[in-house]
Amino acid sequence: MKTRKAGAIRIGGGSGFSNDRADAALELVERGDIDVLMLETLAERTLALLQVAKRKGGSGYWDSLAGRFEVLLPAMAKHGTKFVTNAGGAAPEACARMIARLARERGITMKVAAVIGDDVTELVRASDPVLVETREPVSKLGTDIICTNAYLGADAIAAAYAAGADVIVTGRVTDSALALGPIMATLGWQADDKDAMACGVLAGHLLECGGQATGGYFAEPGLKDVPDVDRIGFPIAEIRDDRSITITKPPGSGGRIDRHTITEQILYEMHDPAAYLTPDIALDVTGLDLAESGENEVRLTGARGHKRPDTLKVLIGVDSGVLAEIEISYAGLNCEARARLAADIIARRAARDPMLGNQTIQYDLIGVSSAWPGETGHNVRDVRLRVAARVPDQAAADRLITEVESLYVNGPAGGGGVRIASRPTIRTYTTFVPREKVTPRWAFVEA
Amino acid sequence: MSVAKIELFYVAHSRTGDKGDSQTMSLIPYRAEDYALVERQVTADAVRKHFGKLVRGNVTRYELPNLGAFNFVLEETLQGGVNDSLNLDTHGKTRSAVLLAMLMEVPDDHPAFKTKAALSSPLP
Repeated sequence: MKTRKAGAIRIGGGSGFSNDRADAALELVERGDIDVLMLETLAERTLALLQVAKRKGGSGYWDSLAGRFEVLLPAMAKHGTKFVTNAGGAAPEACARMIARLARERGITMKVAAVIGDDVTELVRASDPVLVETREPVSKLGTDIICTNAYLGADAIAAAYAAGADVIVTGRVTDSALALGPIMATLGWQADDKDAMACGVLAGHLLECGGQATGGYFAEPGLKDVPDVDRIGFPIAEIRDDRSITITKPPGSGGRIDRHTITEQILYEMHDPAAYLTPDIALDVTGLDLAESGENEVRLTGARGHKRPDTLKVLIGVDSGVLAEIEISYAGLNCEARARLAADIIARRAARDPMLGNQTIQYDLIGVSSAWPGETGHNVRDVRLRVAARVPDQAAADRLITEVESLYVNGPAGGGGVRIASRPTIRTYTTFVPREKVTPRWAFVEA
Repeated sequence: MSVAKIELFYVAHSRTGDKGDSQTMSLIPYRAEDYALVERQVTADAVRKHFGKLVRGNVTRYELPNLGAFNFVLEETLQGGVNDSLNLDTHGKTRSAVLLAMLMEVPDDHPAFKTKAALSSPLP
């Protein structure tokens, strides 16, 4: 398959989460000289939130991403960049159709494919596997299940890419598969070639958090400084058929690529470095060789792969009540004592309240210098009391909110700046299903 | 030359990730030659003691001499994980700063002391 460089594929990591900086993805397309743009947008709870919205008549994907695609699609068409994203959320086909429509409206010809098969609701209902967290079958949960999705591997993405898809939209897949699929299709790597799979997964792992590989989430003033940290360029991985990965970023962009930034991201969310489990391979980085091969350039070789798991990880999302968070500030001399007194008032009143008496309420003290903004020469410190509880419903949340807000006129002297937040939350459970019971599929869609 | 104490903060850097109720923390010495020093002192036991009640489960350390780095896994440390946590930082992503507050013993002419002297807090 033709790429910019023979025997290599260049992939840009365009986002680390659904609401990441849009300018960085566009910069990758326009100045990154990339074959593929990868957009990771689906954190653990995101899919459940999208499913809840879908039940209420919503699209099942982040509608706000459409604005981003409108900007990216013409740039990708101009530069011949392919696009792989898990933005499909709870409705990959609908999201793919939306992208196809956006392209057609702009006179852009693109073959758009959707990958489905991650929704394993029926399989889990029928087989009733044991949950990791409760050590009991799913059916014992006794609550309404919002979504049940398996982490798919790269095979369907690779097949769609090999068939000529310009855009591939998935739901739940393991993040690294968004890169591994195009790599397999381009370099002809097969799923049973363990070290090749390991190389592709490592590349995806380094791309899936966007700027976290290139100086984002890294700066420590005076100790770990990052040049032009306000305009960090997102990572580009060039994967070669010799199984090397070279990480760079768009020329002229801010950020930093060296042993320190790349090592932090290699180990990010990794447990056993000899067995980082994905649906495609168990990645082993204990024999990895990392070389600073140029300015803002790191070359990685020696990723090893071990047998992939026989099961696929499944995330089950269920309703988890309402999280209420309320804050109030105290400042100046003795402010900590007043904040502690305020917390004590809430605790005593909550204990007498039938709706709040059994709830766990957490009290945190926060603060540096908000009482005298812009000034740090005066010794007027502030403390912000944060009261948080996860309660069964909005009525109980409202009760706690009332209690904390009442500190205005009933609490210690000089309380101010109450802020209130309460939102429904989702809890996730983990289980595993046999790989052969899950069938990832892909298909082209029309606008 | 004698031995003096300094925060790990000036010797190595760290990034925290979360998986369920566990946390992962990389630990990467700024200078490759400090690897052995960190390996001797920042043991799994030492990290468990440092975190005290914040960690209820096991602490495991993985050594990666090929990368000049260590990887720690702290289990049962996030109030049950994002699902149940009432913490402001539900993922515990700020915890790398807690690890780096750990004291270690280094030769009193270690360059980390120069770094520490050069950094001054902007707040009173």
